[in-house]
Amino acid sequence: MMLVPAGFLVLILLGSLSVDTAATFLAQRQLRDSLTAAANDAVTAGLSNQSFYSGGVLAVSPSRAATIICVSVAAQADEDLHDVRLWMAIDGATIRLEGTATVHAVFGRAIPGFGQRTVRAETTAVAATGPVTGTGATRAPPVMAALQPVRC
Amino acid sequence: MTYFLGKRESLFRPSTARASWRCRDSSDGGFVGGFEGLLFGLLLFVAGTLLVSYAWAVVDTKTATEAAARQAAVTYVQAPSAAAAFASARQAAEVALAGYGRDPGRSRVTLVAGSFGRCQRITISVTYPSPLLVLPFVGRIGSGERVRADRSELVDPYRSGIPGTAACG
Repeated sequence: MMLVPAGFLVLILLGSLSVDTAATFLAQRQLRDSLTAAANDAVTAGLSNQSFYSGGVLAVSPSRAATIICVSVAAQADEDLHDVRLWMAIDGATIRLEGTATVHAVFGRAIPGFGQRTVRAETTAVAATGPVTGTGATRAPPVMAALQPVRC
Repeated sequence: MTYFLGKRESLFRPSTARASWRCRDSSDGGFVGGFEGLLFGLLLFVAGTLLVSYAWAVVDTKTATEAAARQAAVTYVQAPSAAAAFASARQAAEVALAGYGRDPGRSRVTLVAGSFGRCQRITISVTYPSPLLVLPFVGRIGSGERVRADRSELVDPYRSGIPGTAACG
């Protein structure tokens, strides 16, 4: 007879697990969107005027890019993302951004050890003076320098 | 759990030495309870299902509003003019919500910060009421809290079609 409430309890636990997994997936998408917006902002507003006017070369200034990335990520106001850590790599007019964040589980926080999950995302943005041919899936990924932490 | 014992049944051995205790087949004189277990399980099932369903509805709505806000912000900064920026952003948000099976008429799209201009940071907010319940084969029932999502984008400082110079600082 006790199997009935136990079975229902297991059913509820599985439902809770699905909600937590969906919330984690949502947080991962939020982080990816934030990184994409930050990389897009940094690759345009972070272009070095000195590099362009002296040699006609598009190049991203690392210090300006880092500042813009911090402002952009903070402006997204993703309240579900905690302890956001960012890394970037710059190669000319290309910027690669990676980030991790922790997410509090909706139901899992009641269980020790299941209260937090870590999500990770990465994105790449390229500044171009004209239309870019091909999609991101068809182009080969750029060879980037080592990732450096972004301190906001 | 409650047990009703028959008159001839006893949980204890007889105290007298001559009496011998022996197992007997259970008679129909007693009734073993446990119906409250079913009741408790049913209550747990209903309450838990309502809780999980509401949480799922909120997460699902948040996913839809996030996508709508992202599309609206991107569309706003890529608009050809200030006059068309917000209208096209609202339309993009409504299309995104419709893609998630939501009624665009119940959404609220607002420009909460910034304005259309070179190197201006704008923030667009999309709110949508979360349903109280999401049930299989039934769909979304009721209307709960409004779920909000914000997205921020920077208008390209070097884009064409906008007067002025790029001064992002």
